[in-house]
Amino acid sequence: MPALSFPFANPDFFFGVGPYPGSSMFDTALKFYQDELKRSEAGGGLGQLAAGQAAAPAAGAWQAATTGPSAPGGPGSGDLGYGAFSNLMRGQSAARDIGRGEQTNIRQGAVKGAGDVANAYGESIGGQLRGQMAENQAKSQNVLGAYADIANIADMATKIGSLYATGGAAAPALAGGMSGFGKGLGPFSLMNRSATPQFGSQIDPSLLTDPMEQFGSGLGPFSLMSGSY
Amino acid sequence: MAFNTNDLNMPTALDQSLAKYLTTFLHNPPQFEQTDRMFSTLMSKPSFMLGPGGSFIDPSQQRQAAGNAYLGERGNIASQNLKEKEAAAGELTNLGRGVAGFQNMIPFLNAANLGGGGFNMFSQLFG
Repeated sequence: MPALSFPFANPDFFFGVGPYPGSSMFDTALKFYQDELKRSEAGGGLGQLAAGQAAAPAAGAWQAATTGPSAPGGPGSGDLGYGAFSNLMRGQSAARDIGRGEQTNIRQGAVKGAGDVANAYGESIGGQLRGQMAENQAKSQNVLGAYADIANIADMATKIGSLYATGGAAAPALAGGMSGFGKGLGPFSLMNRSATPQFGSQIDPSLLTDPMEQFGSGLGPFSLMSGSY
Repeated sequence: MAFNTNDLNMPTALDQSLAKYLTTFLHNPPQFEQTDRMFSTLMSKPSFMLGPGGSFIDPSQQRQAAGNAYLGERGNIASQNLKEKEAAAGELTNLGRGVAGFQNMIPFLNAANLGGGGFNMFSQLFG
């Protein structure tokens, strides 16, 4: 981008910054505002055009005044000349005022527009981050729930092993193991919607203190898993 | 493409770029160069001028007319510049609000990501 000499500052923003959601629209808008601001600051833009247009009535007034009948050296001839010249000066000043006013409007509009683009960028990125986070949370909860179910299955397998070792005395342990199965947040949790199948003759309440039953019930990062307990 | 909270530094930097432009504008005096140039010759070298209909404008009249117009235009420029600076200050406030909003969002998003068992936790378990 060529460096231009501006009265105030070089309003070089940046665009094409990345594949953010809405980037193509934001960048186009940003470039428009930047170019508008540069044209206005460079002094060759719309402000001068407005000044030129506004100068036309003043020039017309001067022309009308110069065609008015007046006797050379007659009464009031000096006032006529002075009045016409004053009108011309005022007309030119008014024309430049309009031009500067137009520049002001352009500058303020462009700055506000570019600021709006920055805000839109921020909202876009913030929204994208929230969406990503929700997606990651859902994925991790799903995986952790499955992880808990797998742990419960492993625990149940251990108890089945002890059942064989004790010749049937550990049947309640099997029931306790099944009660933990499917209580996570993973895909196996669907199996826990109806009454848990009861194996064995009765449930040993002491089994409810199984470490897996306590797992996730605190305030730590695993606490989300305690929702169904 | 995955983003992270560092991406919020981009709109922040954009706001800061705009703020730099406005700050420079606020620190600059009104621009009288154009009107100075327009009136400098008339004011410095008043001359006898022919008016409409064969009338004339003597040097004192010319200086008086040009002087009034010149001072009036400078007044308009100063007044307009003041109003524009008020607007620029207001816009700077909005930009500052935007920067604060983006930067304040970063720790909240990071905290929510960690506390909710999000991506970072997932990485710790399986990374």
